[in-house]
Amino acid sequence: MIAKRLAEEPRAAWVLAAGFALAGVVDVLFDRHLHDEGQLTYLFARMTADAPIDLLFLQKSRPPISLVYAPFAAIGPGVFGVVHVIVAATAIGLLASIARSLGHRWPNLAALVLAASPMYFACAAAGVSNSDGVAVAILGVWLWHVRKRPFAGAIVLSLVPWIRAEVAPLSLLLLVIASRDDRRRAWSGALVFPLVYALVGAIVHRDPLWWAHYPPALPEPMPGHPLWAQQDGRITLASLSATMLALSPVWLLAIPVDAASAGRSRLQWTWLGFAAFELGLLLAMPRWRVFNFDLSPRYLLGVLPAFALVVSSRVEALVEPPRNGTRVVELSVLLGGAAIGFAVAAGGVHPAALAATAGVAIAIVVGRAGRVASAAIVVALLVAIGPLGFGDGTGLRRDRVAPELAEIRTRLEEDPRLHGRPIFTNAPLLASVLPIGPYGRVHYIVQADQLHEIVTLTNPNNGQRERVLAAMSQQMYGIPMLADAFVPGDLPADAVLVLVEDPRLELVMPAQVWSKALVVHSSSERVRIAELRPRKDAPR
Amino acid sequence: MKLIDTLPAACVAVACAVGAVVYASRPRAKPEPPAVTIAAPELGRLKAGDRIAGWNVAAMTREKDGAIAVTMSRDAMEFTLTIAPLGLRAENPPYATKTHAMYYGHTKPPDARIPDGAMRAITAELVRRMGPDGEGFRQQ
Repeated sequence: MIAKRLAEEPRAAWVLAAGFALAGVVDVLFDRHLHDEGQLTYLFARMTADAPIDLLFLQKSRPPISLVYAPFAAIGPGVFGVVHVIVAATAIGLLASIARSLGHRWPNLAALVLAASPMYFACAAAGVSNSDGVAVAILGVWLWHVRKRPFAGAIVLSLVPWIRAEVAPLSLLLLVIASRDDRRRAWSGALVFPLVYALVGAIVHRDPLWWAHYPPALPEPMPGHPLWAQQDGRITLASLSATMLALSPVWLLAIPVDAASAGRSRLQWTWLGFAAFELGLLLAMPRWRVFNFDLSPRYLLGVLPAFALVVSSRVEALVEPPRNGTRVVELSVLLGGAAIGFAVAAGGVHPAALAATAGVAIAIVVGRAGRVASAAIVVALLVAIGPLGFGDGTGLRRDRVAPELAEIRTRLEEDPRLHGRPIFTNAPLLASVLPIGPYGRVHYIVQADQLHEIVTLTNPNNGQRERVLAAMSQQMYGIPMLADAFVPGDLPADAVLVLVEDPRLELVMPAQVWSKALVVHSSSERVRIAELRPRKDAPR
Repeated sequence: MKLIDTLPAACVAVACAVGAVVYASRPRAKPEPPAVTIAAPELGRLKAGDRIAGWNVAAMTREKDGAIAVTMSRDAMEFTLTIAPLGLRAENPPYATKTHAMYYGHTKPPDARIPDGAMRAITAELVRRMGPDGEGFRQQ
């Protein structure tokens, strides 16, 4: 009875959202998912507060969310982080509402799949824009299909391309399938923001084609980018499995086995179609090297709402006696999941995929035995332990993504001679984790590709580039040091250099200039601590 | 309830559960590479298994460029001293003799703290073993 109420009661979804927000705030306070891309979301929001016109018409800044977060980012990164989590939490309640409007028996199960997704939680806590893209897409669908406001919903959906480009096809698909009654209002709404933005931008940039000349992302990577040269763009089975589990440990249930299991609404089918397209596209894009897409797992977050809705539909469809075709597809999916699980485990990876497949198979057995409510409970339990057991594939945990931070702190702590001296580093998160007291100010060595991106995507003719660089100069992972101003002779004599292994570093610190200028204190596989060699004219 | 509706999924569930337990119980730690003893006349008679200033010489390897990497271990901590002829590497070292440069790092675990005085004691011992040419490591 309690389980039934939890699965159906609208308020339960909001309690779930509140729990998500609370856990997210704690995560933010402990910087567990501190991430350089999340810091970038914060940076753009803060710069929007400082220079709103220039940042709003810099498509790279993800203007819709930068505008929303600007007042909070102006207060500080902690407040920004909390608000970012609350935005993601709100989408959980809205997704339950969408599922309810689509006639789901247990709408809160869909909300749970979203809330307990290790990837969604990590993105929300990290401050990366991927959870914003998902939340705004859900808000648009909610306004349109639950509140029956197609004009307002379409306006919101039209913002999505400027938040997460990879989620943009969903907005387009929803417009294409709009019912005859909604079509005019939806298309009108969808054109409002792009047209107003393009027209006002034309005045600001003094260029009618500004949106094409200064796009939201580089059409192709910087020429000679050493990271791209190393990347072959192919995902391994182990990475793919970890990513899918991080999206949801019940991702196998998001594969429809017949028409009923994917839900009865055209909206849900469209969302699922988008998810399938998205998965194929994002796994292939890194091979083509377009729009700077690499194999970051978080890019796949856009498929999660569709997964959540289909999982909910799939579980309730277990009550229907399967036809032969359904049996074949269902077994094929399970065998496929088992094959992936065994292959990955045999490669030495933790057998989480096998455990998840076993859990999904148990839910199917229970459901097919006529106990669908119990099957829903099995699925809910498996989903709920997601953040504890299936989070390895998020690629957002600070201790995994930036393990060097702990090493750097120890190296700096153990040598008092390095205390109180200005630090120059290419570690973007160092400024956020280093206590202010014993250490000097952290200066961030801006990498060549980062500068290339800002320069390429800003307009030099209306002064935007100059003002954006000026706004950046106050704070970008510390005090930014641009490559053209970064030479040994210009650094303070007591500078401490904290250099993390990165093939891009050679572009801003060529060995022929820097090697002779540095005395290395310690070096490891990832970190070098160095100081300037005493100058002959200024002995210390 | 038909058996055909539940049996295949039940078999998959059992197989995967058993597989998960079997694989989870297997040790996944990679075996440490065996200690390598190399001829290193620069370092006197230093060899794997020796003790310097309370630290064990866990391994000694010759790197591609000719430098010698000496892995020091104590309790659960390790770090590596790299001794190279002066001028072999472009980076200026924290310690040097007239003839050799010494770098340190590769701490395991990465955030383990090298105790105060350990470097001073170890370098002093190495200098003693290197003989009169070393004339003492000096800190840069």
